[in-house]
Amino acid sequence: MDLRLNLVWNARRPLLEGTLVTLEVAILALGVALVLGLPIALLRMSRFKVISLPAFLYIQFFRGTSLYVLILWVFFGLSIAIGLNLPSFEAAVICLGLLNSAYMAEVYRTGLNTVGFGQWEAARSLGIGELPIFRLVVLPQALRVVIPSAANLFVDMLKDAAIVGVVGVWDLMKQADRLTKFHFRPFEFYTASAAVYFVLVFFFSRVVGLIEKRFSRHVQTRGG
Amino acid sequence: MEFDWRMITDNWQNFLNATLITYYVAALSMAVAMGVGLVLALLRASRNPIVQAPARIYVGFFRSLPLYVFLLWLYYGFKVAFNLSFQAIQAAVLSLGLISGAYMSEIFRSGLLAVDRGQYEAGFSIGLTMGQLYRKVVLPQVFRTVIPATANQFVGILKGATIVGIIGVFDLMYFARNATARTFKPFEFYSTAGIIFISSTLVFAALAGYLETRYRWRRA
Repeated sequence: MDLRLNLVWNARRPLLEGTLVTLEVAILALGVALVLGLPIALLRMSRFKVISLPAFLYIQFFRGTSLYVLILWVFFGLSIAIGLNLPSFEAAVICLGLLNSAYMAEVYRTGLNTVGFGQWEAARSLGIGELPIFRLVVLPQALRVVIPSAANLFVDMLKDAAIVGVVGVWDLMKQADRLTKFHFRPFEFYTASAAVYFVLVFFFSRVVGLIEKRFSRHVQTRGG
Repeated sequence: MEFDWRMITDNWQNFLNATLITYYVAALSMAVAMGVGLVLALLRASRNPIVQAPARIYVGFFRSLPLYVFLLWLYYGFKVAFNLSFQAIQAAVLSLGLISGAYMSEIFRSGLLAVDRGQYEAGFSIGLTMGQLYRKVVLPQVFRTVIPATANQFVGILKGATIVGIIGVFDLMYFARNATARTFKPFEFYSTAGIIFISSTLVFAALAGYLETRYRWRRA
């Protein structure tokens, strides 16, 4: 077997562009998930079944769906059925974001649940209104738990985003695919894209580690 | 918009066969993942860093690789580079199994860590060998602890198995794509496939939830 790594080097521009598209999809989808996740988590935590049940179903639905199925359904299925013609990039961001908003909702819920009920009572007894309590007392404490998990989720989203090329997003894998077909060198180009994913995930996992450390600083005991 | 039910009633047998292939891939991958995961977890339980290292590297490597990338790499890359060709279904099971093996090893590891050190001491003190200790004392407890997490992992595998059609495994999504290309009815086929997938994952997720309460360790 002969490796022709110079082909990969020559194709560094499209591969880099693809990597940026992959990152763009993952980052924008994270934004969608972060925004949608919180209201869903709050609905899910409602005492009233009428409110919490739809949120529960939403979470179950999107947790049980794979990106590949959802993206094909939205991109091809919905365009024929109801004439909804989303561009592929938007479809990818929305699908990845929706799926992960369900996970994000569970992350928010865990975070909010770690804040004891006593905190609400204490804040109420100080005469703070319900909304300021949530914003100033509960949310900051919950975010300590939420932010590291969200960062972890982002790493998963980055990996999941590898599939978005199936609807025509020019991400890293789609570029690698095109180059593979052009040169008929699958091993070189797939190895290269695997290496890029490895580096990205490694880098972001390190970031997650640092974030975790930073956000648990006040509960760490010094010197063991 | 009109939902063409005939597409489904005419093709129910194809849907069934394709679903069974998806299940088949998922089940075999689960078996591979459990084997790989257990071995890795035992290696990582070793106190010798040289024994631990390969397991650590394996987990780090496979956890950072998207399934889609590994699938294409194994199926197309190996064929051309090493003249090593897998059948599509073998490549699918291998990649899904090897990647999930990394996750399974973490699950088994947490199960191993949940076994109290005193159990090892007690086992040794009544004269069990290492092999006997693991077989008769440690692993039965590990298996019980990991049941819920394993069921969850299976849901993940089932979701991962949706993409194996990309390399030509005739699974549910492959069928849906093919049929769509033939009939130009994407909504009917993708919706049906989606419903089949969601109901499968929901059933297993519910099972995982049930097992979690059923096999919860209670403090005596």
